[in-house]
Amino acid sequence: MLQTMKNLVLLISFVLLFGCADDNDISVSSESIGIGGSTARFTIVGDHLYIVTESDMKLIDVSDATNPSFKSSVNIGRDIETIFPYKNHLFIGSAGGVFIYNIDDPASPSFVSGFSHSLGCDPVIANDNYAYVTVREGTACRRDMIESNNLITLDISNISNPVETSNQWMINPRGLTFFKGELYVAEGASGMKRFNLEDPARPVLEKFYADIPANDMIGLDDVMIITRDEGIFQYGCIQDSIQYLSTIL
Amino acid sequence: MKNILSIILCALITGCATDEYAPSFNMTSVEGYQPLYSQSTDLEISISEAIPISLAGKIYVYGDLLLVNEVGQGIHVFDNKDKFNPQKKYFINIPGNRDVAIKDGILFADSFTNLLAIKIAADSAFVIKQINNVTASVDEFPPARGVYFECIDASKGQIVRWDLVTLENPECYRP
Repeated sequence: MLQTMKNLVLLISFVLLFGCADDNDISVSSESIGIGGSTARFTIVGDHLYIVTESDMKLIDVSDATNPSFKSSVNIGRDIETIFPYKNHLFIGSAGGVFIYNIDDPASPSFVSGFSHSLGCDPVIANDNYAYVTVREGTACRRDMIESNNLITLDISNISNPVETSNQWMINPRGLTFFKGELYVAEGASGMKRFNLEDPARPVLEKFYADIPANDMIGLDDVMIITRDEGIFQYGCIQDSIQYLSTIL
Repeated sequence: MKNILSIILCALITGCATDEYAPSFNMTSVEGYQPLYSQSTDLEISISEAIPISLAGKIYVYGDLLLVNEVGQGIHVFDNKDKFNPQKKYFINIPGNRDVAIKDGILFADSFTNLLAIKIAADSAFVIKQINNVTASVDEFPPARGVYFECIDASKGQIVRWDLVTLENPECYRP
């Protein structure tokens, strides 16, 4: 009996000890790399962490994550704000346009093409044939006298020559994401918009959620995580309609 | 046409925050930006109990974990396995932090212009590697134009972010 007790105590303390360590440890998930939003300045592809500063892209070798090492710095341009990876390309958003880099050789990104637009903040996301860019006038971004708040669609099937296929007026767009095959664009305090991509060259506004303020979002298989200044809001998609799941404040 | 009209209107009303516009400094109470300072500029990081989100920045998903940047201050960590009921886990204090990414359980975060590789274990977080001057710098001025702001006082420390608040008699203005 005493022995059983002793074993039990041992077992409990073991569980407690382990449970504690396990609790806070950022354990390695099934995927070794996570997913960021469209406004990120950091992105990891394979063994490299790519960081964009105001003017440069810094390459950090993270093949051994416990011992990252600085590799090189690539000058990109002015007022760089975001970086988004898609397959073997990096899409870099700046206040003056989009820069596309090829990373077939991950340690040595090579400039492929660029697309200039009027000045504004502009995260960019992409799929196989199209890139979607938002341009936001004002705030921290440099600005023109002419208001420019737009959602721009670029045909990138020829990656070395992006061609604008659509340019739509927006209120004050920020981040954007794909979710359930559709395009979602954050409109800050004004809400969030859902675009139908049946013709990916010309997104069609399907619904404007004025009651869902959004700064940026990450669309996963079964959930869309939305940020706004005061917290995080999660939505699922049930029978073709957006369903509220939870809030974190 | 609409644009031209709005330019004219804008110019008439506010000068559209162009350089010619001279602000009034006799505002008793006006919306504007206030710098938040970091007391310590040394790269001391720590783990604390979960705290409420004050100004949510960038987000990052790693397996069932959801990380939310508290602009300029660190990272909120949540267990998001149950999307209907995410659980607060803890907060990682990182002065000057705005971005994060994870590989193989190691967290990469910026602290001002430096990159930190951070290992989280039990109730502690420690920097296992630091690479200086590889990340973007924090806004030196308010992230908007045509706005009042509380003048910068360098003796209070390094600015980690700008909060939109009600200011009393602000003495600085960004055209």
